[in-house]
This record gives sequence, C-alpha cells and structure tokens, in this order.
Amino acid sequence: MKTLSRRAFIHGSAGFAIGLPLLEAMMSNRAWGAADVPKRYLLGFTGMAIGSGKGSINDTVVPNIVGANYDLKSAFTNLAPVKSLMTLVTGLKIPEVSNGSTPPPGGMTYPGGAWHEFQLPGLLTGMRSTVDHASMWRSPTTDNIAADLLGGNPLLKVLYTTVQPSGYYGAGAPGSITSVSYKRSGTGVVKVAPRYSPQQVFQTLFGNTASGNATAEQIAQQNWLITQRKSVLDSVITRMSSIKAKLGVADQRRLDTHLEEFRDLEKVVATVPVPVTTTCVKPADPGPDPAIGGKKVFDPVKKVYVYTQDSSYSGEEQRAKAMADLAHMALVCDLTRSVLFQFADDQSGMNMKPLTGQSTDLHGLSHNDLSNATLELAKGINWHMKHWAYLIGKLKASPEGTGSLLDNMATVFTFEAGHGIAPTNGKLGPHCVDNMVMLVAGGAGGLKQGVHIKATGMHPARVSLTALRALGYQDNTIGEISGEIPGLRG
Amino acid sequence: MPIPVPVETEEPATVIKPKPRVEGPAVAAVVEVRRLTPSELDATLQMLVGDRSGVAAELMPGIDGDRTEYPFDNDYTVQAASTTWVESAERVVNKVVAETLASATRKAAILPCTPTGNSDTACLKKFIASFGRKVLRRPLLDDEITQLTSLHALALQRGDFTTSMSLVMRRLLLDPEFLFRIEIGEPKANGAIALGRYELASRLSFFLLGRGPDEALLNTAEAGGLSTPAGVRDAARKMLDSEEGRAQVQAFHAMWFGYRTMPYDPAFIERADTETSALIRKVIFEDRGDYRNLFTSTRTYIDDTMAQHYGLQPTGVEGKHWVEYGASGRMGILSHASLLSNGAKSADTSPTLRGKWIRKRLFCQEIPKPPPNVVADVPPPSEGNLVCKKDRYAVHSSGGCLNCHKFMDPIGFGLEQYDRMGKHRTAEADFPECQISGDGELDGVGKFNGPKQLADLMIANDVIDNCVPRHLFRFGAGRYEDESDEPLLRDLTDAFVQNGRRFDDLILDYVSHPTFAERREAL
Repeated sequence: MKTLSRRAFIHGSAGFAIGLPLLEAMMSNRAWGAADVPKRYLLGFTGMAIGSGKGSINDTVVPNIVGANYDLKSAFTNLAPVKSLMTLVTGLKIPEVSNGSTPPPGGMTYPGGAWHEFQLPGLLTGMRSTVDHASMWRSPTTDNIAADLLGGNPLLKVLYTTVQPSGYYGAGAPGSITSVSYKRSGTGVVKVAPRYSPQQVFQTLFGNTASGNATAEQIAQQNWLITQRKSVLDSVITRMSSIKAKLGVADQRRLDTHLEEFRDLEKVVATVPVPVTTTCVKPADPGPDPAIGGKKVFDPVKKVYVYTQDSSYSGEEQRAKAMADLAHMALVCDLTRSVLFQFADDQSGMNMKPLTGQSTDLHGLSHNDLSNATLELAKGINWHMKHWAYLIGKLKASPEGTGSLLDNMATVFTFEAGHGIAPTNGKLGPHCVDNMVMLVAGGAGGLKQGVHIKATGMHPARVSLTALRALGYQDNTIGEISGEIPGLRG
Repeated sequence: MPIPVPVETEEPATVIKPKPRVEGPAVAAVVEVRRLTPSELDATLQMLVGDRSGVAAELMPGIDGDRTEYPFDNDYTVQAASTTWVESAERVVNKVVAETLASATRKAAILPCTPTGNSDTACLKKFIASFGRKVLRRPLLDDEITQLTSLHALALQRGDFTTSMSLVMRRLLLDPEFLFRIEIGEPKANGAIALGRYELASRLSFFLLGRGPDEALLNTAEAGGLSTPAGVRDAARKMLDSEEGRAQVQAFHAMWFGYRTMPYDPAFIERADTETSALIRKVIFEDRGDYRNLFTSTRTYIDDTMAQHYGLQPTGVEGKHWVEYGASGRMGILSHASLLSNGAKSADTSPTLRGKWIRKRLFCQEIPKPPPNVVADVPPPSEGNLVCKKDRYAVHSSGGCLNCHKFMDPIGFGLEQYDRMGKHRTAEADFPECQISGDGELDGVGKFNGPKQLADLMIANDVIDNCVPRHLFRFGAGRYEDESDEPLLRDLTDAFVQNGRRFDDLILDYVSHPTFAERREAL
C-alpha cells in the first residue's frame, strides 16, 4: 500500500475530509529510504553551574581520561547506559567582562545586580550580550537555526518544552518560567515560551490521532471533534483579520503577533493524524498534569526556603519522563525536526527534595557553603543526567533507515555556566563561565560518539556549530562565533 | 516639601532634583490592545457561565519568569504572544463550555428560550444575541448573528441543539473581542479617540471590578447613562461599593504593596493578609476618611498569635480583633508583616532592598541602576571583623557606592528592628552581639527610627499625595506613566489633596476625568 504524506490531508473547510480509507492508508508503515531520512536536532538545557564554591574546579564532572573510554565522575554516573554514545566536550569558556564594557564576540557582560541569563545569548546564539536586559537577545537560538535548516514542513517547526512548569518566584504561577529560546521575527528575534504541560504537548502532537485499535465510530467521533475545533478557529482567525483592519498601527502590530499564534494552532488542528508505523505509534496519554507546586515558602525558624513535596514542586520527576516520551515520539513520527528540552530556567529553581532528597533547589546547591557542596551539586546534576540518558537511549533504540533515529540526529546538552574563579568576587564559585561542559550525542555528519574532548578555552557555541554543521549547516559561523570544535567530527 | 529624588547622571548620582510641577492640560493616555489576565478571565467566566473553577489561573501561563518589577498583573507591555498561551486559551474555553452545557442549571441560565427542537434557529439566534452581547461586551450586529447562526448547520451534521450552543460559545469565547480588550472608538479633532459607550463600560468594569461588564452596566451604557462624567461617576460609585468593587480595591493594594506573593506558610499569610485588608477596608470603605490614616492607624486587626509574633500584649480575646499598638513604636500599615515582607534577601532583610522597595513603591521614585562593574546579587559578606550588618553595609557608605546607597540603605536600617516577617528584634539572630539600633534617615529630609517615625516623615513630605494617584493610573492604564501623562497625574493629585484624600473619591475623580473616556494611539 502506498504511504501518503500527512500534509496531503488537511481538512477541507466543510470538515469530514478524513474518511476511514485514508486513515488506513496512512497507518501503513513508513519506510525511510537511506537517502531521504530527515536529520533532527535536540537541544537540552538546564540552569545553574556545574560546581560550587567548594572543592576543586570541575572535580565532579570532567573525566580524568581524555578520548575514548573516559571515566564518569559523580555528576555524570547516570550517563553510564549511554556513555558509548555520549561525547563530553570540556574546558569551554565564554569570554566575560565585568566592567560593563562591550565584551568580545560571543562574550558576556552584565549590569550591576545581575549575572544570570546574561551568558545565555553567547551560549545559545553565539552573539555577545549587552547590559540592556530588554534587548540583549539579538540572534536566534540553535533550536530555531536547526529548524530553519532541517525544513520538511513538520507539524511543529520546533517542539519547545520545559520540565519545570513554574519559576516559583512571585506568585509561582504556571508557565512563569523564563524561556531560553528565541526565534527570528522581522529584523530581530522574539522569545518563544515553551510548553510546560505534558498533557498539552500530548494533545498538540497526538490529539488528532486515534489509538491503534479504535473503531470506525470512534474515529468518526474524533474527526467530528476535529472538524468543530477547526471550524471555530477558522472563524476566530477571520474575525481577528477583520478587526485588525479597524485598528491603529501599534494595535495592529500587537494583534498580529497573537494572530500568528492562532494560525499555528489552526495548523495543528487542521493536520490529519500521525501516520502510524511500526515505530511511530500514539503514546499513552500522560494523564492530567501534576498540580503546580506554587511559590517558594520561607521557614522563619530555620531561615531557609522550605523544599518539600508540597512547595515549589510540580511533579518534575513525572513531567521529565512524560516530556521525554513525547519528545521522543515527536521525533520518531517526524512531527518536528527540532526539540528544545529545557529542564529549568537560568538559575534553576528545581526543587531537589523530592528528586534527590536535598532540601534546596539546584541554585541553592551551587551556593551551599558545606564543605562537600560540589558533591551535593553533583547529585542534583546527576538527576538531570538520568532523564537525559533516558531520552538519548530511547532515540538510539528507535530503528530508522539503516540504523537508529539517534544516528540521524545531533543532540547537544548544555548547562548555564561552568566552574571556576568568578570575576564577580575573585573566588571559586558558580558564577563563572569558564570550564564549561557540553554533552553531544548523535551520529549525523560524522559526530564522534563516546569520547571526551578537551576544548580548553574554546567558545561553547562552537560545539553547537559543529552539531549544526553535522546536520548540513553550511556556514562556519553562528552569531559571532566561527569554527568547529576540532575532533568533534571526523 | 517634596522628597529629594535620586537622579541618574553622567556623573555619579549625587544630583538632587525635585520634579517640577508640570503645566498644560491633561491629555488622553495611550492604551493599546490588552490581553485579559488569568484572574480577569476567571472572574469574567464566573459572571458569564457561573464557572468558579479558576480554570484560567490553573491552565493559563503566568508572567514569563514572574520577575517583573511592575507590581500589577495587567502590564500589557510584557504580554508576549505565545503558542502556549493560545493553546491554553482553547483548552480553557473548551473545558468551561463543556462543563457549562453539562449542567442543566447553568445551561438554562444562559439560554433565553426553550428550543422546540434541534433545528430551532430562532431560539439559537436569541441565544447568540443575548450571550454574545455579554461576551463581546456590546450588542452584536445583525450580520454577526447571521454568521454565528451558520454554525447551526455544521452542528446538526452530527449533533443537536446543544452542539450548536457549544460551537457558538466556543467561537465567542475565543473571539479576539473577548480575550483581548480592544478599543476602537471614534477619532476626535484633538487627536484623541473617544471610546464608544460600551467600550467605556468595559474599561470601567475591568478597572473597578476586574472583569467584563455585566448586563446591568451594559444596559446603563445602552441607555446613555455613561455619556456624562456625572453618569460615569454615579455608575462607578455603585461598582466601587459592591463586594466585587471592594475586592478589586484590595487586589490593587495587595499587588501594589507586594503582599500577594508572600513566601510564607498559608496560616501566616492569611493572618497578615487579613490584617492589612482589614485596615484598608476600614480606612477606605468604613471610615471613608483620609487615606493617610492607613499609615497612621494606632491599632491593627490581628489575633493573639499575631500579637505575640509582633511582641504586643495578647488580649485573650478569641479570633481577630482590633488591638492597640500602644508605645510599641508601630503605627499603620508600615508596621504590618505584609509590607515588611518586602526587601528580604536570602534568610534576612536587606536594608538596601527594603530602602529600594520603599523608594519605588511608596515614594514612586526610581533608583539608578548599579554600575555595570558592581555585582549586587549578594549582600556584603561577613568577613574578618565585619560581622554585624551595620558594619558590613558600611562598604556602601563611601566612594561611588554612597551616591546611590544613601537613598536606600538608611531607610532600610530605620526598619531593621523588624525582621522579614515583621517580628520585632533588637539584635541580629545569628550574631546576638550585633545590636540593632533601628536608626534610619531619609536623605535630605530627616532622621527616623521605626515605622511610626518613617510614616510621619512621609506624610510631612507629601509622599503619599504624590504616589497614590500614580499607582492608580498604572493599574488603570496597564503600564507605567510617561511624560505625557504627567498633567493628568497633576490633576488627580490636586483633586486628591483638595478632597480630603479619600481614596474612593480619587478613583471617582479618575474615572470621571474627561480623558478616562478617551485614548490615544501609540506612536
């Protein structure tokens, strides 16, 4: 039976465009030819550094052994199942100026009273930051660069996700998480808010897809619901366009940005179900999202913020797994070719108590004054590595073309900062972008797997650039940073 | 005498320059398209369909990062478009509509007729007209009713009359005129845009009640009841005196004074919130007195647990009641745990952050940003002989640091005898040898010790007069003021002072000011 393109089955305006025969056609196996297997990109991120004010620089993360068969330090032991796939690039450095002057290309500067977030433009775009917070992002992040590169008109150009659904600051409201993704808009860039609800991601990706054993009536009912949603959204979009014409320029501009998002939602609704194959299947419904944990609570007796199951914790353990499962299947089914997998925002308010038993957040671990602070932080980092290894392992276990899905990918995981002598106070600590570490996996474009590469003093954006070039990116520059990491491909 | 204002200059910020009184007539404020906040959505859905689930607060994304320094949740300048928000909006609407139509009572409450059968188009049209008027906050045009009625045919392909209602409701509740506050109006000769009568009703309702206008207000608008400042004032008075209006005044203060997000256990938050809310209610709605009484009240509404927390003598009376401060040094709202919870850093108070908070929130002044080569992320550390906070913060008292810190730290030190939860102390908890004097200073104005003396200085120097109208405007306009708004703020401040500083009158003066019924386009 011939396999039909999903994009060929957009609902007609009268609805009910999908009949059972078409669904049957689409449920046939899709066999990628070796030459036309699409490439995919996965960017992982979490806030905070990889060391605290105690211990020696990088002593819990950087292997002693360079090259193959490297040793896993305490922060990375959870990478063991995928160590042969995982390349560690260490010794990276973002040039930093602390006197407010313009930093060098890709560098970091920051205003007084702030440090976090100002390294992110250099890290994720290769473009130096400015002290003006409102305009410091000026170039797209690599998840969006990859989406432009990989094309293919998937359901979602980028699947933006975050495990932690709230920053837990202020009111601790859902979705109050700082995004680390910026996409092109006009001559500049705009911030993209990640989806924080696994249920919402599930509905977006697979809401239109009937389960494998659905009856004809169930499929017809599902199509009926899709038709209703599409009809409503079509009408809303028409209304927005007609109202826009009555508004002044500033209001038109403001409404336009929202209109674009409604169109994206309409596109999601209008897209026919996933073509189920032997590997692409509708995943289990993740169920209702765990409740949002709310703001941090201060204990006046202990004089610390309280981290329990009940405060500033929203089931990140379950959310991480659910998001990993969904991201994995989105890539398998070619519903997206670029994924942002954000664990937390800069600084990271990830409550570690339910995750590792430590009564603080990841940010607190890095500031901990205990003599074994860096070891404690390593436990926190290692929790993230457990989920990252799980996702990488799933990608490797998914057959595709002549190998696995991971073989056709480039994946990059990065932390917000490194470990070293902080220019802010001249002391060993987390506020430092020296000695950064990035994790690379995937077999696209000859990426090396399972090795430890010392890239002392090199800019971390070069790691991302190498990954992008492995996917076919032709330029040798992102932002202001040029050149691959020597030895990362070949 | 105006409080001296910190001014950012090329040189260190040593220049003190009181703001001159502006001249010229007030002009309409720039107001752009605004998205409803989650709380506005929830309140409006409750009014429309009786939904009390708080589904918008549960499913809609909050402010990105939640770190804005703007106190109010309705700042449209930070409302970025996002797929996440749009998807959430659809989820909220679908959920609310499904639950409404699943309840016979709630369904009957919004349906003005009994359908004779699935194909009763006349009844559907009545429903569209009545429900649509409340949702879009204006009567629907005939062609809009016709267009929405066309959903009937689609519904009946596989559904029934309730399916038609569902489609209509989902379509209306996702309408941009529902999810956003869109003001089109009519251009005037002076460049302003006069709001239509229904648009004015919406503006009043969201400002005073935190939700869209109800049927009664729409009827008032339709009858021309909002066509004069006196009519607007009359309608606003009724709204303000309603339970919802009073709750909105409380919400305004909770955001302004920063106690909506206190990071403490629920029982403490309830006590602190009740204490401050009670004083606000008493001054504004019961006494209808001088707003400065908020800062000079000699008693407070607490229970004995809170009295003990404050170091006041328990009365033995059960439950919350008014307790005299006596000679404790406390006075008014500045003594409340709610306000004193601001300006904390890590486990303790930060005199710098407290001083900054008071300058910004209570004086409506801006503090110049720290120079780029200063990291103000951590308090001055305890090192060597520098153990006591007073000594550690002395690093701010010399050189370039002094130029800005003199505007902040001395205010914070004047409140240092009150910890981050408002508990009285005379020594630092971790270093008992470090005595806390509580001596503070308002630079260029005078010395003080504790909340009572700070409040006295604030009142003597007109701080409250100048700052209250400014925050009210920010909440109303959904943004910070700019230079063009200063004449309006001058008018409001003058009226506030002349009318005995009644907060309810200030609100009425604002909404009945001719510019409130107008807007200007952003350039």
